[in-house]
Amino acid sequence: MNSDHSAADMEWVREALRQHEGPLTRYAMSLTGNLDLARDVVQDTFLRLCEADRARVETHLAEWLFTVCRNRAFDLRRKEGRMTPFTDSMMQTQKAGDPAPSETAGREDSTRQAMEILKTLPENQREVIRLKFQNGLSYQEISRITSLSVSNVGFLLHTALKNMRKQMMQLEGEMS
Amino acid sequence: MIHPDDPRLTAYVLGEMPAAERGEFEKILQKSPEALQALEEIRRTAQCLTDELQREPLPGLSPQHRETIEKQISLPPPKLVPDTLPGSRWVDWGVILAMAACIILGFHLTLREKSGDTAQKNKPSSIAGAKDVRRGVDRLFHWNVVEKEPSSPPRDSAAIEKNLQLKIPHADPLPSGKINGAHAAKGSLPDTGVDMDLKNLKNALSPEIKTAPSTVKPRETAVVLAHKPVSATFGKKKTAASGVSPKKQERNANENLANSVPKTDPSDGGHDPLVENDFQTARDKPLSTLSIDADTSSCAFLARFLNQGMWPPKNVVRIGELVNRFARFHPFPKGSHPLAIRVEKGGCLWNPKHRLILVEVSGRESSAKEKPGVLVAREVMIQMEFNPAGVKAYRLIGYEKPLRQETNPSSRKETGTIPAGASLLTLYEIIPETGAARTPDLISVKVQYKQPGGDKIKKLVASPIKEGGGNFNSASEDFRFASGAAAFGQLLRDSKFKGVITFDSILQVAEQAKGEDLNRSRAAFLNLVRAAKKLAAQKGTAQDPRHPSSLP
Repeated sequence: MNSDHSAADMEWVREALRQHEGPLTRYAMSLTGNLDLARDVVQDTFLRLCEADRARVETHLAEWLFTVCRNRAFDLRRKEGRMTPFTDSMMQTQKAGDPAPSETAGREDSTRQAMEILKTLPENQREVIRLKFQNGLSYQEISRITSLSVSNVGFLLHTALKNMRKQMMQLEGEMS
Repeated sequence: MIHPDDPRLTAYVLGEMPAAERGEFEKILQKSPEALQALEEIRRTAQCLTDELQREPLPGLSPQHRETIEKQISLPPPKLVPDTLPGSRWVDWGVILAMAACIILGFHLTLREKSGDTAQKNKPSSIAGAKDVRRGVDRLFHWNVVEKEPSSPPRDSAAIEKNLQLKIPHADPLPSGKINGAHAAKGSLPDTGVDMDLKNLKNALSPEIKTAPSTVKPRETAVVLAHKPVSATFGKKKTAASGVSPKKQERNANENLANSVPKTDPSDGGHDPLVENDFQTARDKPLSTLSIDADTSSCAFLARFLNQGMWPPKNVVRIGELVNRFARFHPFPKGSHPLAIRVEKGGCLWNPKHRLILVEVSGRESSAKEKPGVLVAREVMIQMEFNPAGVKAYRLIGYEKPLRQETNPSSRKETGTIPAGASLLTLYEIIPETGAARTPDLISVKVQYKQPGGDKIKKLVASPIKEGGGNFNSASEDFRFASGAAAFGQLLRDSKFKGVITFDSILQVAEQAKGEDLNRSRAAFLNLVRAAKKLAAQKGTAQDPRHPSSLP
């Protein structure tokens, strides 16, 4: 199937960029641990989108973008010899500092602990958690993005949540 | 038996279990207390994670990166590279958006938040009729919905999910004149139509004030400072709960009416005209967040105008209040959760091409052990998320806004209190998506609130609302009556949304949907419509909004 790259037709790439730029960069950052690298990865992803066959991509755009983004991130990490494990350090930096009182007022303690505990999980669990809870992707989509089976995705998520809540309960126990 | 380590539990919580398996799974689930416990824990953990992960900043690209991409976009057609995925296939966007709701158990399950509440056990058994009367009596609440903008425009399904987390209310309440509406339990109305009895706010609120001083007092103060309060009662009998002699009530009422008029008088030049909410496209603005703090007081003024043979000025006609003023609420569902959500969808009375969604959030009745009238929830926020794949556009009905809305983020007020046994009805008119790619998922509803004396934010999620529901005539009486009340308000306001409706057709709908009218408030509504119809017939002389205080 040939696609017509008229100006109007390419508008969909701009739209895709507008919609997915933020979430993709955030995801790429969780993979590379570096904002500049993450941005390069996302730029590459969209450059590839420009060349992709719209008809084949559009029906599953988010999945396509996340897949390409992930592959690019791993390529880059290999190329640069950056075998840095998945890290949330960037996120931590951004979350540092005391949030405004109005933000914390109603926050449950357990919610605040969640991110700390998340960091202790194995990287594959962390990744599926991000894809699921941060990006709202389905088991099916996560399975295609990560090349894991659907049941494996389900298992990883279940295990991750179990680990999380075990640690959260421990923390709550220690605090009280 | 289901072992707590069974990954199906997580799949179930996350809405990933195929529908075909769900029924059987739920059956087994009911027999596994351990699994139920695990389910609840999974739900909470997932919610925590969702909340927290959605808060993470969205960094985005640098201008240089964007420029590079833009250059590529503007380039002439490049060679075609193969798709990196094994092949294209249809993705059910409905599923993705449904995921945005994140944690969806069955409606019945979400409502059962275990909070150590013993209310269910203690819930007094009462016949439905008696309950309805109680509801009438207990509706001493304010509804004044402030529609809020999400902090950033949601940009995709993930961003939508990000915005799904409900925020602590921060918008200022509308300067709409906070007034309390209280029903009389068994008011009998004079033949002339609606008779107004007004009584003091404090009297009306006294049960709450006495029993929950810590939560009510600051709020009451805020209300009094902002607006001169007055409460309106349809019918002649006073509620026994007020504990004040009728004469004294009347005196207080008259004083309050006089005081309140300058604040609520629409002819007051200092007030901006209130404008109706327009349609929003679900694609651009999928979220409609409401901080509830409504009242039904404007109805008293409206009735006064109509009964005095005067066409009401637009600002007196507050459609949201009309809808709530004449609503009769459903019995609270079983469960220990202090709030419940009920959603009904049906045809739109005034526009056959549109649909109407009714959302009712109600507070549990006080249990026998609790003192009556204790507030059950505060800082209540409702968030509706409209799925662009199912809804083209939506419009919040009523809750008109001033043209120049003051925004002063520093003056965050505690809004949105739902007393025991009270409910809020909200109506949305929607234009359904009709394209081939539409999905049946229309709306997700979330409610966030705090309980008195606690600062923990609690959340309530209704299962996603799907396409369907019958036409207007097959909807419930309450749905039809609320539609009639909304249509009436729109007609009085000469709203651009009034569609094809006449006073006669409203009368017909309301007559048929009146049902059991225990406190005769619905009869009062019919009288209002008749009065308006009569006025409309002789319009021209009727449009003279005199100052209400100058009325005899």
